[in-house]
Amino acid sequence: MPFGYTGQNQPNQTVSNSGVFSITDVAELQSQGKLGGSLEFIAEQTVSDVANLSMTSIKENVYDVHLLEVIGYNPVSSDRLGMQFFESGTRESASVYQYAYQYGYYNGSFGENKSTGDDHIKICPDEGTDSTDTSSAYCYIYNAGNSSKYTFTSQQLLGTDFMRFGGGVLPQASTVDGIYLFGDNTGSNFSLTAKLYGVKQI
Amino acid sequence: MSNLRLINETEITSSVSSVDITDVFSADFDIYKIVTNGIEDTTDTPSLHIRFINSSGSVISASNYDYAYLNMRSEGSFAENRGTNQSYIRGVFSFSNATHSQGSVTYIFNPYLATSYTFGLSQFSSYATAVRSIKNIGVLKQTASMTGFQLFDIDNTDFSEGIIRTYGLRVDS
Amino acid sequence: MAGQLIQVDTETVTSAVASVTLTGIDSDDVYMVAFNNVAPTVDSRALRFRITKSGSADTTANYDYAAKLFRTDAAFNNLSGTNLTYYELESGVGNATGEAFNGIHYLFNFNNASEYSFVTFENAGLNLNALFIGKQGGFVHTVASASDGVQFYFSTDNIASGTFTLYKVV
Repeated sequence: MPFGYTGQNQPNQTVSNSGVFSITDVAELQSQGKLGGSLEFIAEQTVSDVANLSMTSIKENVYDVHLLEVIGYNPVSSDRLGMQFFESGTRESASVYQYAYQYGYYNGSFGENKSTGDDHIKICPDEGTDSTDTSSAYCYIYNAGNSSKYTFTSQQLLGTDFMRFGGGVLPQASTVDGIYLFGDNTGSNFSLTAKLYGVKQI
Repeated sequence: MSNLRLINETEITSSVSSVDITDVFSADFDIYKIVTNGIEDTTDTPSLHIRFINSSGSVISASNYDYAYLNMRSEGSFAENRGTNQSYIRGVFSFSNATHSQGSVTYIFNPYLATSYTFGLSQFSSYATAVRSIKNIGVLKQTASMTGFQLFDIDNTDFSEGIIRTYGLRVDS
Repeated sequence: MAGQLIQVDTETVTSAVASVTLTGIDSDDVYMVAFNNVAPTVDSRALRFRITKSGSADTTANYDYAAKLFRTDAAFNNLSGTNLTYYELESGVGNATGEAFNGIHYLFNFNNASEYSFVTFENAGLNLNALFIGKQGGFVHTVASASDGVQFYFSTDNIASGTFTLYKVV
């Protein structure tokens, strides 16, 4: 049974409990993974006019599943945002990534993006250079820290002209210990905020 | 205190063709999030679907499920798939993933409400000979209380590892 | 504790209301809206969505969207539109047993006064014909100003049931 609240004057809850935890209670619940958030913050970077962004302390040895948020990607010149992974500290930049996405433009054009051999996984759609030309995305990353499994993604992203959903993979059994974001079409500098969370496990 | 609460974590450690996750849906939550990763087998290629388990502990296999999903293939044309009055919701956690596993996020709505159907939204990526990404919607058209769910392969293909985590999305009144 | 999903606002409809408004977006975090068991008082009403500025729904013609409509009876539809005055989750929600709507939206850039507001959506439910459908996609509100919330309403008549909750991802 999920545990609830501490202290007084807490919101109504369906399941009653005493509402106050002893130090022992806290330690025990924490060890069981029943205290605290089930989405745990790992890192955040806000960048302006950079060519790329790396997140290299992703706690892949702690979390099986990560959630990456990219907010307000805005390139200096027209471009789109791609992602590569670091494997044991070395960035994989070869055309080994695979992905499949459905896209839809607000003006009516729909289609498929897919590849069995590209040098990135797509994160944010193509954007122009106006300050309002931004895009955002959420991306789940699975199995990063498991050296015997591939690292998968599923994501949804949208910008000023279109939306896209789907997923990808780095089809190599390896430990992924970092994320690299870059302009994957023209290599333009960009601004954005990136936040990384671990999806909690016991 | 976070409104996303871990309820259950189940790790698959031996070869099985189905896993029952019981007593995870209750009156505490209306919306649940199921996160899976790493489900695979060394020799078989499981495709994993969902059925619900009612408050009597029975797996619902009646022909009361509808689903629709978009199979986004990196190596070929995308395909739509749909079914009505089926005995399970197809394509929720993986398709034919052999030794290279998968990852998925699924939201389940209203499972415990006996006056409502049980709905699901799912997205996953898995690898057979190339990556496939699926977006899926599904429903169990029974006004009955569900307390759990079953992952299974309709062809009884085994899977031998992986993790299934169930979270509740808390609403404070 | 760092890393949480924090409830910002919620409303559970137990008697008919014209709309549900959730507000409280006041940071640059990503927000999530979860809703379930939404049904109209009168059968076959369109469920719509707007964003709010200073607590009031923005009704200007600045909603652009694209969605894939998943259907269980026929081929999927590609749906899109620009310069609309709302985003429509579903054109005909029914109110018979089981005919309810549910979904998850993620909100980006709402608090940013110099950028547009973006929403990804995924939803599913039964329409007035007990047909199971769902939309997956996204929309943008092309006004560069801060947004502080969201509003759900039906095209005509009222909301009979539903729980709507706004969370902040921190």
